[in-house]
Amino acid sequence: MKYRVAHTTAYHYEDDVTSSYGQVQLVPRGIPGQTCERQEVRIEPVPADYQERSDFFGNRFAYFEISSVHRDLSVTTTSWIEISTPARRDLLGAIEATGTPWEAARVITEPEGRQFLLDSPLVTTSADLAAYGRLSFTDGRPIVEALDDLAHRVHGDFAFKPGATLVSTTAQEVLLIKAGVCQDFAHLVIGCMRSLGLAARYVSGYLETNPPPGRPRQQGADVSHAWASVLVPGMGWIDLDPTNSQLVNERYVVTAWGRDYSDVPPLKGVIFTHGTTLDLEVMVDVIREGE
Amino acid sequence: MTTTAPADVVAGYRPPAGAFDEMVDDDGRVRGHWSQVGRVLDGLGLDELHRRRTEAARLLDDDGVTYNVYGRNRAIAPRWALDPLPVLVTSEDWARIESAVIQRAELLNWILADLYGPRELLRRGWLPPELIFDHPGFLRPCDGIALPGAHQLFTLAVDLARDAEGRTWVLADRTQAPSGAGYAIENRVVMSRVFPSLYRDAQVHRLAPFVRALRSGLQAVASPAVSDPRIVVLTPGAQSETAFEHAFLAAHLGYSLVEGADLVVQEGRVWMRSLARLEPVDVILRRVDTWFCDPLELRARSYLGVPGLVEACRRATVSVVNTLGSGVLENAGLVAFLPRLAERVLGEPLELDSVPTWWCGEPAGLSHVLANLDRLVIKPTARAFGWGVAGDARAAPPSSQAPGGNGAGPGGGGPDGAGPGVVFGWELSADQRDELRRRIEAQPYRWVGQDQLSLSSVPTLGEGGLLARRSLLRTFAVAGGDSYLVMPGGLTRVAGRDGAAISNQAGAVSKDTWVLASEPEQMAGVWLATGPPAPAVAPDASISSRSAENLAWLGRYAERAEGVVRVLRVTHDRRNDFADGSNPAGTACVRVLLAALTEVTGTDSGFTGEGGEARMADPGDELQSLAIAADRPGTLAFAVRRLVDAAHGARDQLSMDTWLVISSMQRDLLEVPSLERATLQRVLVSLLALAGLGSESLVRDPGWRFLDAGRRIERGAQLAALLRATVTVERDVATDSLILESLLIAAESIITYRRRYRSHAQLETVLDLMLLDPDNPRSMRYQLDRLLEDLRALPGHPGVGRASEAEKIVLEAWTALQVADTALLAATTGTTGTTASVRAPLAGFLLDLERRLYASADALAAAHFAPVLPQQALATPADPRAARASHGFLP
Repeated sequence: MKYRVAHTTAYHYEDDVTSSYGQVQLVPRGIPGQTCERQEVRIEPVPADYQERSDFFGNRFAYFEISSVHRDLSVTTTSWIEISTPARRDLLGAIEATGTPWEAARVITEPEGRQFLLDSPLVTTSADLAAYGRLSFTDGRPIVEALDDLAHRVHGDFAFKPGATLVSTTAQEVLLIKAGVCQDFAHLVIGCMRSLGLAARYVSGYLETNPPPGRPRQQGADVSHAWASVLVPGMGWIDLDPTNSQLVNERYVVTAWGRDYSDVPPLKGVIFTHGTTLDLEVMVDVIREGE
Repeated sequence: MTTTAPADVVAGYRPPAGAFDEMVDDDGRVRGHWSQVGRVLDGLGLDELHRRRTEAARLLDDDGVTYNVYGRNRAIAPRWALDPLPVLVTSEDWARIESAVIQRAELLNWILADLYGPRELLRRGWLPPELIFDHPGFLRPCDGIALPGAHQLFTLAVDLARDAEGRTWVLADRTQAPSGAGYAIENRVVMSRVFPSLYRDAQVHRLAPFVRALRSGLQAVASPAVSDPRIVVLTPGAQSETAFEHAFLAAHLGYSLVEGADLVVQEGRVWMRSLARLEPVDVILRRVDTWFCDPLELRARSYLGVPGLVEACRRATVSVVNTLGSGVLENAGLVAFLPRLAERVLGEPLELDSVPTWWCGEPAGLSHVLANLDRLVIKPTARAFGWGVAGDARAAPPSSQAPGGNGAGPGGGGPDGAGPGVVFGWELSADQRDELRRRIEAQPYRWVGQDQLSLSSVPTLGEGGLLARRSLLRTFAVAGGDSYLVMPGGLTRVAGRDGAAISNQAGAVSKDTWVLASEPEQMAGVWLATGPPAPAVAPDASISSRSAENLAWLGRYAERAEGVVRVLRVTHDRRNDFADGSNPAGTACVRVLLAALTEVTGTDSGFTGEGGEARMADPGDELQSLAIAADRPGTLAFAVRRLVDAAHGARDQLSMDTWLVISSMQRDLLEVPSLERATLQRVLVSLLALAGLGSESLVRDPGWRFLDAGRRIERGAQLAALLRATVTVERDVATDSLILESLLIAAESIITYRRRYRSHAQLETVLDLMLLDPDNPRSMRYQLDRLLEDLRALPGHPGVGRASEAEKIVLEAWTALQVADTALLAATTGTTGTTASVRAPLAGFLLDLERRLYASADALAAAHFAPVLPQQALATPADPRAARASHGFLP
């Protein structure tokens, strides 16, 4: 499956911004099941300084600095990506075939994996989260089945409600609010997993969406997305999307992962201005190519 | 005070049983290396020791040595406390400590380089990942930052203590941005003045080599591509608890003291906003905790940092020391692994053990700690995880590196200098212990248990004799060459009272630590350097724009304070002269002066306006308030306080003697409950001394120009305001002559006037002297001449024949003054009643001068103190509040 993903974030400010510093997420060159053939980054005004790098987790970011006075800023990344469908299905199939009980996944020796067992700024383990997770993670249940069940339950128990939470909302708070957006549900699942002793991480990316039946696809109507991923030692990471009640398939594009949202915001920055941000527009297109 | 026979001083010392005492052994005999000092103490006697203690306090005061305590809003910065008795260490004992501290620095350096590099320690299982990955000091954005040269850990402070048997243990390591070395050096300076002969005879190892090593180490840590590195000291600001030390080190080392807003990252490297331009910065001595250093990649809401600093460090265009992320080593759990790591990494045993520590992340450690909860000291691996420390693991105060750290948890009353969040198991109730047990069991890798040490005691001067106080020693190491250099001695701290925690926030007292040399050392100044002469730093490059602004304000507030003091004084004297009310002219003059005070100070609800008549009738309280109400804008005390603030903000630009003057001014004014004339005199003397320092002790660099420009602007404006408030209304001759005389006194020109005109005062000639005379340093013309000189000497001046914006405004005022006719100005134009007529042209003329002067100040600020616009975080699309305004939202 080939995709072109274009992601634009555009700001309009009330007053002059004298300088601006930013960090934008790029798409990894290659991870199991996904290859990025080409990527373009376009920033306006043209930055005085621009540098790409890999972070601690191996994600790719670009740093930029704008030192000219401006009132508008736009950052666009365009990536050409190929998803290898068999690779994702094979991993899931292999784990399913072993029927690995979830408890077996709690034994993790590899140090980088063990950090995903620990609390992170937005996800703190708790008895409440463990109890919620335990309803799906019954004794000896195969892990893929348990994850699938958890994704369904979150989808059923929690309302998708933009505005109900903030970027700083924690997993524990989501459990109380019973509502949120994709990153909140990802945090919730991660919190349940870690509270049960499983290693879980936060994944940031895109999802191809279908237009409503009989309607043409609208430009810019796709979205950036987030979900959770759980480590099965010796096998790999299983990604599940509680927002859409399913395990991640070939329609998902991965951009970055970390302990939680705070490690991998798609775009962050610092500006110097007296004014406020009047308008913020995000446009994402996930377009299937070569068909 | 009881008078003790001199010989009884040492003999009367009774340390508690069961602890090791530094001065006397178990049988009460004075230890060999203390005998000489002991004899001197006996010879001096208690009264003399008290006198020396007062002398030490005065010297510290005069140098402006402060230690700010959180959560107290006070006009006077708390003073640094120094006990006059030194702690003595033999050179044999010291050699062991020095070697052990160097070894520890090498080991911690290796660990730091590995944790932000290959992480072999984790891969090989020599350190458990939970210990590092869970620690808030491990900052993932700092991964991969590497300093040039052999050392990633630049400075290290190690807190040491002795147990009952006299064995030395390590209590804690400080690696984030260790503080205390500057205080130790200042203590030494003071001690060598208070006990000159004792200090000389005792053959004490000097601290100068440490300062030299710090300077050469900072130069060596710059990128190899830079031949003459530019170095700055980054401070959280004058409110930081150890602000004194930041400025002290900057001044001592000769580097600029900067705050985050003074720096900017452009094109991947760091620059200082200096007066004329951006100056490259190669090395930053960091006194801001890492988490606050970069709002882009670290704490988004920090206003103490520099956006892009982490990126610049990653690109190695700047060397920040200690490196960003070095706080990961301040991990109470790490010490449990150091003995094993020393063997594995260095191939040798650890020379000095940490206090026995069990990390609960290992089953054996956990079971030992849980089984011994009632007798162990329980510490979190990081301060933020501690008992009673809430939520955000990284919301610690910006400078948490102060000696003794911050307060302690509910059980933190023990005398071991433990940091915050530390609890003493034996102090907990059964319920508290159960709660602690649950917390440890939930996240065992966040906790350690440590044995409790009974710290050694040292003699400390009390009112009735020497008192035994528990002590800690903080030692300091700095990287240099292929090893580390340790400050000989360090900062000893003792509890402020018996049984209290040894923490500066809890009132601990410091002591100088003397390492006794086996043979006399060669004297060597800090400044002597071999090799080719170093190129001088351009004067306008060495001052930050913020320092320059503070200097200008220092000049303005000093002048404002002086103006207010002089009017207050003459008013006071006139009230005394005409206290009985029998002289109508005298009474009228006093009324004019009182109204002038309100006018000149610009204070609200004074002697004019609503309620003014009542205050005029009984002016005592209002006069008190105008002098000493430090929170009321316009008053003398307010100006003095702002003056002190501005001086702190420009601390790296001022001479040491400045603090002598400022501290006495603070004592005289900000600490008095009520005002007397003598107080005004003393404050005036201090202000004159300050002015003298400004003209005699400061080099005529751009910084001085700003200071002087501030003075000229304010003196001119004050003069215009005073004249407006006194002589723009004509009254009867007797009253006017008293007013003119008072005016000349307040303007410090009465002698000149009398000598020159030898007559009763006339307004026209008074105006000649006060406005037009180019040779009267108190005249308007003189202020404008000097101000023009200052403005023309500033960096960035457009060149000969051209004028800057500020200069244009002053030139207009100068020209108006040139063409002014004092005879016309002195004439009256109309009547406002039966007894007085106004001089409208004079009033307009003066108001115009005053406005132009203030406008020139604004123009100066706009041209040179380019304000940094408010810093904000970029709105994030993932924030639902922002997303509502956007087309798409995050599902």
